[in-house]
Amino acid sequence: MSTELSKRKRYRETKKGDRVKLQKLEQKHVRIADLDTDKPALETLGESGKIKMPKKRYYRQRAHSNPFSDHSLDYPTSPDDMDWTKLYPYYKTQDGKISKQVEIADIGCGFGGLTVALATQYPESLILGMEIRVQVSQYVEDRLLALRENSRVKGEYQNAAVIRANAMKFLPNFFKKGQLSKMFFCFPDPQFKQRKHKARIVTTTLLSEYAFVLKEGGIIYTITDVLDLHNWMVKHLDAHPLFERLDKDWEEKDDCVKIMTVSTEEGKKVSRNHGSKYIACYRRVADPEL
Amino acid sequence: MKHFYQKLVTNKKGDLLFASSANTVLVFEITPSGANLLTQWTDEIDPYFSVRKHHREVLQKYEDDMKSFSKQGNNPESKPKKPKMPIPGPGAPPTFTYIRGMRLSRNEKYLIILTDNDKAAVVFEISDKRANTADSSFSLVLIKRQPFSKRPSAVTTSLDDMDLIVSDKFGDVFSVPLMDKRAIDEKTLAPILGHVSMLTCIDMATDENGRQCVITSDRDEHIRVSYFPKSYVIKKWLFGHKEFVSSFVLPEWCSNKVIISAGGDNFVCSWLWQNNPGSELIGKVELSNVVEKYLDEEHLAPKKFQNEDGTLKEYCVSEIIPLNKIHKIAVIVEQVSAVFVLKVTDNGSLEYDQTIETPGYVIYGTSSDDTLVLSLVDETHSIIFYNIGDDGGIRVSEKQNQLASEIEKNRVAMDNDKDRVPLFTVGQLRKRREH
Repeated sequence: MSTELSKRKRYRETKKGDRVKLQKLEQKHVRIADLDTDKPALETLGESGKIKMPKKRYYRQRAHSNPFSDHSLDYPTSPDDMDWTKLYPYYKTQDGKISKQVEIADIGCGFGGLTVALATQYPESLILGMEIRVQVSQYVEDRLLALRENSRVKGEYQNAAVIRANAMKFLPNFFKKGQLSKMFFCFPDPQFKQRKHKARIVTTTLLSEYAFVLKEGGIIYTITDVLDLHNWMVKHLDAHPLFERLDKDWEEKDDCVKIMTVSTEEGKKVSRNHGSKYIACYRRVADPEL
Repeated sequence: MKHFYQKLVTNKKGDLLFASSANTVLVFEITPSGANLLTQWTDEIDPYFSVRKHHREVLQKYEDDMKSFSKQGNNPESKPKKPKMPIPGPGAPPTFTYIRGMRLSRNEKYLIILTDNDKAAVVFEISDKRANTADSSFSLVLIKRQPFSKRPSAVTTSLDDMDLIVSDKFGDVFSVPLMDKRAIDEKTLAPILGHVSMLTCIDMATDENGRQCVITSDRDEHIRVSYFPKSYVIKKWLFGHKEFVSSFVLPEWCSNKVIISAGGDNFVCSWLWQNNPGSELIGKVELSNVVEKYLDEEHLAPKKFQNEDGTLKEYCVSEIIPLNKIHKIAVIVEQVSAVFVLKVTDNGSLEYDQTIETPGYVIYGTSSDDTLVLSLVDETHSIIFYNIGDDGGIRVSEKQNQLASEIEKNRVAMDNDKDRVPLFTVGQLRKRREH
């Protein structure tokens, strides 16, 4: 066990070295490479001269993370203080600003299957994956880094990025009012125990924060293989005055529903095990008369 | 040995002082000749209230399980186990029965206290018939004891005093009718809003369009403004703190426009909170240069987070008291023998004014137009009255001895030092980020 662990650790250390070289940045969590023409010598460069995709098995981490604990996270004091150009260097303008705003958030992106799929589906939108587990977020980062470097079309995958963040606590630190058009909650931690229910990512009280960062007409996508959690999310979303459910017809026609059903890592796993997938999508309606 | 006063509240006129010492609320009449005890109320709740409540619940569950078990036909494998119900022994961490929060309703007709043990808000009607010569009584009439499922951290009332608004340590805010005598079962209460962080302070105000807002601050540097009663619509967040926010006030003289906030940061912030998003923070006063000389070994950071020389000191603001008459605020820093006075203009600009040294650590304070009252950790000066002069000066009252002696005398006795209720708890909110 201990040799296995150290092997995983060694692998991640090598990858970390590559990451730092590629970025020439030493920020702890907010990092993704500059487009660099002089490529430094990388440890994990494959024979074809391309970066090898990271291997998931070296980044495994237990499935739960306590959203209430004080992790050492990097988050901006306010949305205005966030330097998005570090995450999306391709969209950096002459004066050092970002030419686009993040529009799609994949909350609890896990190993990033959806984030990656959305990047090619919506090449014109900036997509941000948020993941609380350190190693898992590092995996997605290495994955996106490799995809960016290896992509044949210039700029491909430059619109997707990942950060380690606690979205339940600090979402408003990242996004302004009405900034997002889509939010995804794919296979969230079910937090089965009664006393852990507040740790669930969809609750009526938290939905007010999601409604704040979503623009009017923006959509919340949820999918889970746990019926109990599905019912919980539906109950809470139904109870929230700022969201209305979208019907089955709409779900069938929507591209994102298709993508989140088939391309998330959890989604694939559930399919392999012939599990059920429960979907619920909600539209952000206008604020009521106050 | 006696308890100190952990909470104080005075009415606007300054002729009534509500003081809580451990589990007792004492009401004093403040007259030109001195202070008189009008009435007192002691929380007689069982110190093991929550333990016993939990026992009742597990016992109930066990009995229910037993019933369904005997119906099923006695399969020995599914026989429920008898639950263990230990009462904490002498080595267990101490439980306190004390009053952790106190405030008056806006019309000053009700007194609301927050209890620690049964996690309740207790509402009293203030029955003041002193003007009536035939009766001339003064009493606190218990209206209700409203329990909550998590420990309440702060309390306020809606602007019309119809609703009691309570925030808890789990991050949720509840609204219950203030005057209704029936307490609501805490399990059926739904929060009106929630943070994923411990809430520290709550207040209400009207915004630039005259709409009522509820303002909440938390341990994650956030101050959130939500509309009320439709509190699921968030107006904005006020960003700028780097550490927890412990306290904020809306000074009267700034006509609702200004919020002054402070906490674990070494500075006090002032906000024009109705301004355009992003430009609310307008004033910031650094406290370090004036606070530093009052810091002692109590403020040393814990070993694990200490620097190499072992000199790292941390301090935090626990309370802000507005001084309406002179348009200033008094800032209490935890475990410091002084209060720091800052000037606040009508449009929210902030400036250091003066330091008032005290004989002991300042626990809490309150103010009316003409007086500032502080409670201290000091056996001979546990309470101090300051006069706020027309010239803006803050001086110890000439009547200090007459006023204080009666109040000092009535402090609640305790058997030994271990029973002392926690007086300085705000510093513990500091986040120690790991992993």
